Amino acid sequence: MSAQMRPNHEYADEIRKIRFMVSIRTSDKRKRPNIRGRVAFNQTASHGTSLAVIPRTSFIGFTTKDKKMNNALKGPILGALIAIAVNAGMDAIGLSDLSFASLFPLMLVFWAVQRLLRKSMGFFTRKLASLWLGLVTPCVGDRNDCTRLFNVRRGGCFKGKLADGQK
Amino acid sequence: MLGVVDVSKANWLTVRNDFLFAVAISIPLGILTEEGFFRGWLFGSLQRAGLSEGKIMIWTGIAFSLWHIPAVTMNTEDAVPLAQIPVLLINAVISGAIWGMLRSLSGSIIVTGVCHAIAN
Repeated sequence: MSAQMRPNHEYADEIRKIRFMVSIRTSDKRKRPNIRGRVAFNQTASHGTSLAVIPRTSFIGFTTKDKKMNNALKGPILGALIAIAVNAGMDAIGLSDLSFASLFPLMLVFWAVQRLLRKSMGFFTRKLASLWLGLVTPCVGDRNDCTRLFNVRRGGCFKGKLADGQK
Repeated sequence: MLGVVDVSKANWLTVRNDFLFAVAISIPLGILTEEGFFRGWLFGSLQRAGLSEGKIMIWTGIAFSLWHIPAVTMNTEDAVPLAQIPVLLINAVISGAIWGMLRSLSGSIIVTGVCHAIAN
């Protein structure tokens, strides 16, 4: 730790050297450098102060497509978290009956921010015949309502009278 | 449900009217709120992010389930006993995934809105 730190602007030459080395390496491999990070001062007792490029660890090993996907996922994750937080807040202050309505303005806001097409939002019917899917599924495919079964067997929130012989 | 609940004394006219009224109200409300957000914006946004249809169905189902946690855990009308919370949340994930599949098949949240309203 005997080396004294110099002001940042005095490292400009070293930064230029690093960029030059990166450009040579890039021209050799004929592809863009996969270096994303920051230039940091590395001070050791044996070598004094040196400069190094510290890559962003979250991007190491990811392809360009993955990086784009990571960025694109920030919006949906943020939107879902905000919706959950708003819903929790409304439930906490006793507005649970209206908490579902908070999704409407959130949907409009995120729709406008992300500029999704109406088709991407699903506000269209490709063909009216597909409506039969919505009508039939609750009767056939949506038989996973184990909560209701759970309640019925315990005489829970389902207030119907149990038939004779049922426990 | 048949055999479990005695429906011999049910007033079917009232049941029919209540059912139709509930569905008529639930479809537009559902399309503009829960379906519009989860199967509409979230589904479209994840599609744009490049996720596969299967993953989108699962993740929208999970988000739909997480959104219901405050309603079933806090002091609301929908609150359930502690032991039933995991069952209800798993149910919400599966239901959300099924409606996501409907969205994927039809391309429309009107279909999922109809399904959601009837299921409710």
